Amino acid sequence: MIDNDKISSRQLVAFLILTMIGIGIFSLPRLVAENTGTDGWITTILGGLLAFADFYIISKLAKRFPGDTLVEMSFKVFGKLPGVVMLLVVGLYFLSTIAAVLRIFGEVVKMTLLIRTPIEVILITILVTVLILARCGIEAIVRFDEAIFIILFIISVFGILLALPGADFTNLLPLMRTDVKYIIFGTYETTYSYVGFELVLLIVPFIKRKDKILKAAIPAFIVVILTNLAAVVFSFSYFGLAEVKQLIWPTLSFIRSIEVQGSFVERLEGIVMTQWVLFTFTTLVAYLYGAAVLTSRTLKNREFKHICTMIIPVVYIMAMIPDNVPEVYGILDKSTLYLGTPAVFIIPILLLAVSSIRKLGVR
Amino acid sequence: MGLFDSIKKKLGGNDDGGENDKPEKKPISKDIDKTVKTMKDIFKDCDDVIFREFSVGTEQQYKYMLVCIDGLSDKMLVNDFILEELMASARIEKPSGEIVKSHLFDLTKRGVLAVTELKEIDDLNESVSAVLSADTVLFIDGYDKAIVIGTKAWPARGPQEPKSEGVVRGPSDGFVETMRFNTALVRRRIRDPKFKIKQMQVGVRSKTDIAVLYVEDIVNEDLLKRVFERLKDIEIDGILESGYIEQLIEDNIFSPFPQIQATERPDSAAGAVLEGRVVIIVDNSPFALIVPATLSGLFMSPEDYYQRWIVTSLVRIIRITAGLLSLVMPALYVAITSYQPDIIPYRFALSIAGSREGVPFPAFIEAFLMVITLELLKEAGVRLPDPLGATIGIVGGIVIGQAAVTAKIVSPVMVIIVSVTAISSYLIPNYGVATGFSLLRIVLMILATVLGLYGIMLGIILILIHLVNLKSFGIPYLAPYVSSASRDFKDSVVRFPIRTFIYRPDYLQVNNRKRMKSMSLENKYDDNSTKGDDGGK
Repeated sequence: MIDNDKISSRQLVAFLILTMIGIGIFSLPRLVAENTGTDGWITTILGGLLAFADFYIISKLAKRFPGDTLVEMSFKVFGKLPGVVMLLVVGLYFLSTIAAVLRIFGEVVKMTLLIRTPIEVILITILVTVLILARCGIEAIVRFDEAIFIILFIISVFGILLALPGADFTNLLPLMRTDVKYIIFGTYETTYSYVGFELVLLIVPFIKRKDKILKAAIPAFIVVILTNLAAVVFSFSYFGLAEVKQLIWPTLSFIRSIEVQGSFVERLEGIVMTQWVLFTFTTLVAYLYGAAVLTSRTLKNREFKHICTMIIPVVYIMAMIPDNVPEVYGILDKSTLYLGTPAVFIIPILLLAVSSIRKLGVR
Repeated sequence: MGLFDSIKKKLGGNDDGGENDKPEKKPISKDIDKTVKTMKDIFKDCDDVIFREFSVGTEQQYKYMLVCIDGLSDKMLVNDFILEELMASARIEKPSGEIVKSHLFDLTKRGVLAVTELKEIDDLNESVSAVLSADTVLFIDGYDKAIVIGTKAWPARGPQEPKSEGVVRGPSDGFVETMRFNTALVRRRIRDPKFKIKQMQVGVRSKTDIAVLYVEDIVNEDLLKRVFERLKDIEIDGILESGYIEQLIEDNIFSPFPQIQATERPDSAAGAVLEGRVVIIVDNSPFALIVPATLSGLFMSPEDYYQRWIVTSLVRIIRITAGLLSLVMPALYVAITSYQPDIIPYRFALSIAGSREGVPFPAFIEAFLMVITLELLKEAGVRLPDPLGATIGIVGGIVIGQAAVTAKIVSPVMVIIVSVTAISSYLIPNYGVATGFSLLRIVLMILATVLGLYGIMLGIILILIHLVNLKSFGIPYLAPYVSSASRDFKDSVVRFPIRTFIYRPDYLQVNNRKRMKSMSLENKYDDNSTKGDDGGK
């Protein structure tokens, strides 16, 4: 009775929000500016809706296989060998995501908080912290998410209120000038700012109410879409289209330019960045947990904690390979195209399609 | 925790089980002279034990022996209601001599002894422990039984105002060192036969009485089972304070946070019991233990429920803010002065830099010196007798603070920071949490020195990781902030009106959830709102 640690709906909401908001939000305004110009906010919303559609498929899968993770699902639906190939793709996608998030995290922290500290120190310290939480298992992870997410939510709302006076919303004009073709392509690209929800496939057996997964996702997606939308709208209104295209991290530059005259904390940068450490931390933990569960379940190895530890040096080396930030984004683009698309979209759709044809799982 | 396994083994040592052989049952001899000899043997060199051999009956034919401990037993009661009754009533001839002879034991027990608490035993070892726990044992010649008479009365302090948990509004009685008084103080508040007080003895040598208090139809059985399991698991020579029990039954001994709430207040204990918690009262300790404890509960004072809710909510917000400030203030000072001076207004940054001019130490050393001084003063203040404590305050606060600034060892801003930290930490109602925080404060300062604001964030993340993993008897320590129903937020950072607390906390998973009749939030005793608007007078 006591010690019943299944994931509640509230914890699932917190998990989804904190996993989906990560480093993507920093480069999102640039991404949409390049694709659709001032209509970027439309693709931001549409991208979120597309991601939600994808999540709908994932929730269907969870209902169909309530006791299985992605690993068992793939084995059941596709058989041993094709299953392993698919899981390899997903696993590589997880690793590359962790590595990219880690590197960008290191660069951002170095740029904003610790200018003279070597990036290795930042990466190793955060990796060790991530490892400690990931090893504690999913119950601890979701409790952690639940504990911090209300605080982060309140602080974010305050941040938005403080940013309002400096915004010039005429920079968002003109509206609706973009070709539908670009909008569609832009929507597809922005969807990747929402990734993180696919990790739900790896925690299905621990969720208390499998039928409430979709219901929990609705508030989560609304919050994430609004957050991303705020980042896009404010970046545009602070800098204008031309400048947003030039900046690597427009959202970061926007945060740095907020000034609150006369208050005790004049520049919000330091405060916001420390909050953002939490957002990235939770994303990293979730992905590390996902990667470790994937590996340990594929190998039928119970030693989940050791696999967690073994992943750490791998992602550290992967994170240190690129020479600079543009290179990181180059690699990230390729990995989302070749690994992310199958992992996030194709595999869940295939799983659902094949399992419903073969009539596997619970109705 | 793999890392700790080997350390644990080394620290733990082997259990050779020498002390814990339970003594076997020893029959009482029918011949009273033999019993006298054995008892005197057992209590050899125990000069505080009184053996009173006497004879009653018209011809002094029935031999008795009474054993008790001088100072622990109520001598008046023994004299007036045992000895006198026995010796005097033996002179009265009814019932007749023959019946007296055959029913001596029952007559003594039922008809003569004028005391409330009587028990019949037939084990000599039990009689020894009865004597040691301040009762009086009466042996009668010719019977292999003895009578234990409750004569517990030892020098005890009366209930006084609790020192560690003061309130403005609320009862001023506090627990004392006698378990019986303490259970009575709680029983007085809950007159319900379902409210149970289960007693047991812990400690092979000290045989300390402990009482476990709970309400049978509220408490979660699983929780209760855990409490009893852990208590029965204790095998130690002596329990001198409830702190022993606390440390022997807590979940994580490596945590800086107390996982069991100690309270001196009977109203806190009664409140906890009614909520579905379990209270453990230990003899010789004025501190009762409340399990399970949650961090949010440790930040509450019983007064929170006696004052009106709006005021209380404000006080709680201030208290929690103060708790956080006391944790991070010195670390923030170090991080901001040495890494991020740009986040504060530049004039303020300049004045800090100006005040630090001439201070030869880096911010960390400066902060560390002051924080350590603060801890020194706190500890000295606790140990010293009261009149000297004030001196320490003056010496510490004025002389050291002022002189250190003038001597340019620390900057004035640092003195302000440390003072605010100290005052904030006194707002934390629970002493255990406050001391835990002062440990973590130093850890955060070190992290801030190495990695600035990012380091503080890492430190907070690490503390949070520890907290989310921590449980108190299976209940998440961070409840109701995690793993609880939304309605529990009504009693967390803010306190909603009492009439909204219809149910007991969800995280305790109690049996009987409802605790009051649902009431509407309208002001039902307010005439104006019921009459409606009568158009102005």
